[in-house]
Amino acid sequence: MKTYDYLMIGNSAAAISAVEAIRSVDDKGTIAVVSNEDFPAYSTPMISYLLKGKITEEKMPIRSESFYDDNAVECIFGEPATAIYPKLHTVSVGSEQFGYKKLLMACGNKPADPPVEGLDGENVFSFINLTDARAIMSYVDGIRAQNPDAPVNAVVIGSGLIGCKACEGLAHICDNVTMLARSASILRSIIDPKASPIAEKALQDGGVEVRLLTQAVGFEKDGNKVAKLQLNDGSTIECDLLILAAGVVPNIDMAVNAGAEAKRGLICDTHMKTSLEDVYAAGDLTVTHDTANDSDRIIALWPNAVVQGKIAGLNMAGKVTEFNGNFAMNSITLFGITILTAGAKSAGEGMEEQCTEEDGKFTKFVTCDGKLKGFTLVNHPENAGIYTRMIEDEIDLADVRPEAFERAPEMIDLPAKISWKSLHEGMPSATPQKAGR
Amino acid sequence: MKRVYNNRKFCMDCKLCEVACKTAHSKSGNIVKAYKFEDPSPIARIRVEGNLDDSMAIQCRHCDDPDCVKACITHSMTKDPVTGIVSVDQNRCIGCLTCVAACPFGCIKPADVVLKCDLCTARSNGEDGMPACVEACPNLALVFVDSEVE
Repeated sequence: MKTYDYLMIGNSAAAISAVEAIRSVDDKGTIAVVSNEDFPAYSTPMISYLLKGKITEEKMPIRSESFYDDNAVECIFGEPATAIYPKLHTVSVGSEQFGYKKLLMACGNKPADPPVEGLDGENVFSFINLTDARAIMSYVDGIRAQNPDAPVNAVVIGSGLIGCKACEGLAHICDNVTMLARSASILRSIIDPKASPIAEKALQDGGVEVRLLTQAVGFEKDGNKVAKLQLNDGSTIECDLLILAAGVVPNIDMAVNAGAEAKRGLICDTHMKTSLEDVYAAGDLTVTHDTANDSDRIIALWPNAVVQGKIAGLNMAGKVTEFNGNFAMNSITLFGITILTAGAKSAGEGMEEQCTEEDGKFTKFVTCDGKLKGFTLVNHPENAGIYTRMIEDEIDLADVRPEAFERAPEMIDLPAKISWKSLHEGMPSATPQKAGR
Repeated sequence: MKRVYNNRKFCMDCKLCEVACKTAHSKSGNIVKAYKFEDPSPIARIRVEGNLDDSMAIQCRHCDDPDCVKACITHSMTKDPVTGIVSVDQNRCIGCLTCVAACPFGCIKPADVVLKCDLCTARSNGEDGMPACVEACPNLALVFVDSEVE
């Protein structure tokens, strides 16, 4: 049995970030990365761009071809890890066992159970990784080859980020795409229901039929395919292709089975260590302290995975580094519209919120005690990061020019002390302070 | 690394830095063509904020530990370990705008492929490699000096 100083379960944003962090302080320790897929680390969010033909697979890797060699990382690809034995400090991968001194759980999430029990078949897919995207594309190619003239009908169950991005991709390769949204609005976990009509219209203009308050309650099979869905309104819908995008759940079963403390996601201390000795976690499967609304929840977003991976890696390599929570920050482009969000989506207890809508643009600010806690900007992304900074640095809004919330925010809107300091970091004191050439 | 620093006291809101930046990032390198004829119209990566009474020019700070790099989902945004320059690979960027949501200075221009200050590395005619904005500033409200932070 091979034993590694550092063993990573997962091969995406968090794991790669951890590898780089470890190598920044330890160039000798042995590292191995376990992935259920057989690809070098790639950008998962790009799978919808792949479907819609905007990019090719060659663009998806997030590091150079020589990354694993350069960092002396062994790749254990193609089979999932299935069990952790914390006392033995070993992990099962397929039929093999690997030992670890420090383990990182960074295997993200997996599709939630289908909304109707047993809903599965050769034309049913999830949409969370490259394997899914490849399978969908080759399946569509297959039915096109069999019957070139028949329209291809795709049905997507779910109206969250994954469902919306699946629709955007599928609209390019299928003739009819229908989205089934259980609720009365879409992208519910990301935007205010009041902003939903803008997103719905974008999908519809892009050729996607959006059916709100609609869910599958049963299905009919034709051989090994799901041919029809029965819907809650009594109607049926035919599908050549069915995408299950009704949520994801953290991939934590093996850690939980090994005794790790979890509350939906894995619970970590400020060093990103789980309750198991020498087992760390980072990314979509952890519970993060959300600093924007002072709650503990999963923040399944790329930037959070990168930050947590880095902190986990440093701590695994012995460089004590604190993680003091984070807040969500996200950007979605969907059929030409842009949705930028950070922090709290809506006002919690003791918070206030304000929405404005004008000319297809939507704005929402969430505040608490005179500080910005969250924003949503639909179709006006300019300078959004300045708002993100206001959340991050808890800037007192009484000191910020009110114009900052009437147009795109600017540095000059911030208190002079704050803007000067951050704009002049590292400026040598000998810099000329005299006007004129 | 060398960075551009502004001095708000000296800035006159003349926007010559924006003109120079736009021209420096045009196809022709010619101010008239850049402004009147090029399609797509070139975009300045520096922004003069404020008005005649109080103004300052803002461009990418090429941060030591850049939030845009950590946010980038495609590994298009990188900080060069040698030069310190933060740049976006125009061939990889898919315009997801996560970097725009992250940049605390509002210095990334949203577009199909995002745009930002490159410290004029692609422009070879500057005096001592000086960025076009600094060269154009008539009142030393922008200086290009060795920074004490990587």
